[in-house]
Amino acid sequence: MQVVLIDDNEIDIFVNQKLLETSGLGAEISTFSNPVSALKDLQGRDVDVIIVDNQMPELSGYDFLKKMLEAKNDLKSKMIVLTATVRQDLQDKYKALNPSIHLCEKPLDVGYLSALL
Amino acid sequence: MNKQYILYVDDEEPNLVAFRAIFRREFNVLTATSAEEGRQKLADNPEIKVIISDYLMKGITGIQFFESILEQHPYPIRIILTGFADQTAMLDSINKARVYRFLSKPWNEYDLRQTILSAIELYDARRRIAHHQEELEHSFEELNKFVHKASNEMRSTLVSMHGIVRLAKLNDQNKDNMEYWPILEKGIMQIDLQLRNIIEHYKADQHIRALSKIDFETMIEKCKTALSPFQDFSNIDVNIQVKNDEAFYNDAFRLQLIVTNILNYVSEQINPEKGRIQLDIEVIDTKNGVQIMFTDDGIGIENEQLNGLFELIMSKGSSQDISLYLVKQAVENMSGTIEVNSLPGEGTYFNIFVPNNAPKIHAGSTN
Repeated sequence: MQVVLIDDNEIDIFVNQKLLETSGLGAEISTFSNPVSALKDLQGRDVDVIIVDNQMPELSGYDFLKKMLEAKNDLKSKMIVLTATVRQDLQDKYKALNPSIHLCEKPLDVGYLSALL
Repeated sequence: MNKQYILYVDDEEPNLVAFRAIFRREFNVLTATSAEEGRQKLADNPEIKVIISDYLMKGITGIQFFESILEQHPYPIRIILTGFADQTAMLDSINKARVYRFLSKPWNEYDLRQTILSAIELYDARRRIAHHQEELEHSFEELNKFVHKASNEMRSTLVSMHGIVRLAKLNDQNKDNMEYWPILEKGIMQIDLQLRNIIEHYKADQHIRALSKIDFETMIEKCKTALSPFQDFSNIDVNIQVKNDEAFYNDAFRLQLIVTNILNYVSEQINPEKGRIQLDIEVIDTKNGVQIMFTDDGIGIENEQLNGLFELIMSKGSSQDISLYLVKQAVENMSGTIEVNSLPGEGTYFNIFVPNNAPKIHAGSTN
């Protein structure tokens, strides 16, 4: 299973990568601290799961997924957005973009993730 | 000191001449023989602090003149000169045209001077207050923004730390450490809850109150769910009784803030001898609103702590104080009241009144 982690916060990348590694999901993980380079990388390949931070300076999680969905209209990857607080208005915003997007509070809950996958 | 600007409007030229002769040394006297000219003088001289107008002029009364300039020139203080004995008829106009004083005509120089001087004083005082208020509102807004931003940034770091602790809990092979991580995690979650509270509170202050219909049972359950990641409810027996028949409208956001914070407070009050706590939440209709009562059988509150309970004082390392501070702020914001009674060893009782802001749709009809 190929997983892409995108977060501008290095600690969160470290933690989430470790959590995924120890989860027993057998994930092959690539990480990006810059969403723009992640966007470039994902043009050329398909992955199973995209986990993206909601709040990033270069490109918000919302804008990132919007660009992804525009670039690939047959995107099959599971999309998970990480945020400090899941708010109703945020939930609505992402659901309007694409109903299959999941919001998940930080830190990543591996139990929740494996249930999702 | 600079001479202050005053404007005198009267359609009888000799009055203006006399007025100027007396007051020109003390004030910058501007005069106009018609309402039209008066408006022009006001537009040209924003420094004018006091306007004196004759009551009966050709085609217009002084009151009408004042009303016509109310919107464009709200600040100058207004004085009416009138020859009429029947001033009671004009009292109605005081509010409409915001007249400061009525002086009888022909005017008495001493009275008029004193009135002008106190009008200038009033003008200055009002402007000062308005200025301070603006400054205050501005700095409050800045403070709000700062607290909101700082809290969000602290939370984001805290959440990262929480992630590391969670990771350590999974991976640490050392038995001793396994006792430390949960304690550290609990501490982190406590701080996180406080930060969430602060963020919500400062958000609550910024946004205008949004009224909605409240279903208390659903709302209280929602608060329990929201709090469940932070507080273990397995030792708390919550008993909810809602006797609210009247459609109740108020700020759902603030009500949730109140209930969540009281639940949080109560869950820390467990009497170690009992190991459990019973919390009865009762909602009843009262005149103009509802009463929400929280009764627990926890450790209770010592008498001397009761007084400062809702104050923002961090005493004896208690992290709960901010919960109740936020409760009080929210209650007061909704124009409600809160009371607390407690017996150490027996329990605590909170009694909150919140007014009903149900829209009055058919206020005039009995059907």
